[in-house]
Amino acid sequence: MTVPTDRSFTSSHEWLKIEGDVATLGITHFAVNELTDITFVEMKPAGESVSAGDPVGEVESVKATSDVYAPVGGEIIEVNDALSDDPSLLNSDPYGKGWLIKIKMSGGQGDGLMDAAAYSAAYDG
Amino acid sequence: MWGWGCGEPERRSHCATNLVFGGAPGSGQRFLHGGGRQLDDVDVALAKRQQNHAPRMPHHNRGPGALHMRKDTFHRPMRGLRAIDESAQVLVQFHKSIRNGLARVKCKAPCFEHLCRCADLMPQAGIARALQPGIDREHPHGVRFYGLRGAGCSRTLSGRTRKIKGTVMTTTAPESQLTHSPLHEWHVQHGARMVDFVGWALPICYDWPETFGGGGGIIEEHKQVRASGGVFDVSHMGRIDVKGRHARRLLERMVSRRISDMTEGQCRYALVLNERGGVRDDVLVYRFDDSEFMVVCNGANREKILAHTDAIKAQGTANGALDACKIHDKTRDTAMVAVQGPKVMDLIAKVSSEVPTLKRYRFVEKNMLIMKLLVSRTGYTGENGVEVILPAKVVSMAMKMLLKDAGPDTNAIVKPCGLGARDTLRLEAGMPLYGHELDEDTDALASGLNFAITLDKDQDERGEDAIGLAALRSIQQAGGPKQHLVGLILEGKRTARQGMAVRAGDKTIGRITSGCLSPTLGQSIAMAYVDVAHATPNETVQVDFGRDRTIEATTTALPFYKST
Repeated sequence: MTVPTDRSFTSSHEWLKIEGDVATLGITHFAVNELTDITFVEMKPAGESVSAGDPVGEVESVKATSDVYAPVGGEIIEVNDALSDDPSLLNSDPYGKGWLIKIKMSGGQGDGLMDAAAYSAAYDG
Repeated sequence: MWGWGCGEPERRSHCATNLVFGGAPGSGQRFLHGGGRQLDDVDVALAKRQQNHAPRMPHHNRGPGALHMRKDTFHRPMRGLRAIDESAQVLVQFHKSIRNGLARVKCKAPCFEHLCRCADLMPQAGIARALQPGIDREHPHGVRFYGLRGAGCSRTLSGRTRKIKGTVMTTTAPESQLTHSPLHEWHVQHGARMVDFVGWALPICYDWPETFGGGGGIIEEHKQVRASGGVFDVSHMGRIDVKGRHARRLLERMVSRRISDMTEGQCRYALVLNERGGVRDDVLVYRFDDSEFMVVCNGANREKILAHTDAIKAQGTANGALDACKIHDKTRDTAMVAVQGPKVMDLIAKVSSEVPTLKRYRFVEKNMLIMKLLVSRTGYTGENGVEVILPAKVVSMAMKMLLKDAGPDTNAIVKPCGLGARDTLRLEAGMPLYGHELDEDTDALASGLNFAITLDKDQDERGEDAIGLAALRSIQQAGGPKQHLVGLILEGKRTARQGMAVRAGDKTIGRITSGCLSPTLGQSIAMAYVDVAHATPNETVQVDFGRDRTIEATTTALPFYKST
């Protein structure tokens, strides 16, 4: 799967799409592929404040459980409820319907983020 | 401690099974920080006074594997013992003070086993597996830990200690160093996602090609096997011939069930025990005739079982020598394929009229064109099916023949399935997996595999006691094991992972050994060892998921699933 160029990436395989002061967070196709079939997603609820680097939820697959971290700080304003009914959306569409949360950013736009080219070169090449 | 992003030590993530995610060849290695795989995060306690006496390790000893110390907590590489376990490609370096009993390593069971294996390879290092398993309460999941310390020293590390964090990793195992199954090309052609499994490159699952209608993945492969059929490459499993005048008595000494009363063409599931009654491995013994047998063991234990077999042969027993037998590892010369599912016999009936009439745990040798096949009515999925052993050179051709009539299309009777589905299938079927339900430190009686243990087999006319049975008889006489293996059904959809604590109220009563979200039942299922007082069905217990979260579970008899 091609890595979309309209967003940034972390070395821990989250993606971040920033529109105005709202950042949408998900995990990459590479991460989903490593995890195999996703069976459970639980994110912190809307209204919670998070700092950059905080864990914001957990993703479970047949094989492993993994934390998801927020690369930016702010307030969680929306959680993708569709994932609790159908976690496999993360497998089929990690960059689209499989988004995890939206954060209204209060600080900067995050350090150490990679663009699509750098992320592809490092992990998805 | 495994999962994506495992390279970051602060990331909490853990693996459900022995299966290791190495990623696709070519990409995974970078993901793994230059190769190797992480076995465990460990805590090392060192005696204070050793601190200033540890000279730098010579440069050539600094490998990429080893007890990698995090830079922020330990700025010098560990020195001292260096051992390489060839079979698992684990490199371990211990601080010299561990040898002197002045340090200890805390880690989880699978890592501990690898470390012990390394220690066994280096007996001169004098490392003992001495500490009792305990519960690490500081860990978010209260994981069970094991300790290593120097031999002949007091149990506890006294005096002032300094604690450091480390990571035990396997050595760099680039794709080129992994053992390829004879079916490697076939896997790649069928969209396999390959992983490093005990040093072998094997498919964890497939992205089925369009000729099979696409799809695939662990859950879909699991359902394919329950509904119709799947084919698994299990060539990594050890296949060891034991032949000769003393072969029968050697196996009688080695395994937990009678060999003498087996008939030709029969295979028998049995345990290889250690002296304490713990499990070295679980195996299938095939009997060809009175002086010709084969043992099929777990891939991870092949070297260990080979060494153990050699040791028994060399030692003999009180009833006489055992040296008139030949032990030959034919794993690499052969392939092994499991064909499992309710419809697979229909498919096999097209090429053989005899195989579908085989009774369970019977086998037959067939010559087919230029192929010599050994077909047994056995499996590890809870479904009807066979396992086939055949020469490595002809396996690709055999697969083509098998799948020729199976489709290939969306409704193919048999589709390729990976190790991931094999694990969830065996879990639903309540079958134990070495490293999870079975290990060297859990006595075999607790596993509930009573059918596989003949405690009084020395009483038989031609009997010969097996290693470990005396220890089990003592445990039985002292009132039986303190824990039993049970099934758990959890509320909700979260998956219990190996090592999580099981509680009743505020008391810890057991530990999870395996868990998954059952694709067949749609429920979260797990196996766990719990205190006998709670080991009856319909007990309510709690599974500790860490971070102050527990999930209610109900005990149930195994298996979770039985084919109709």
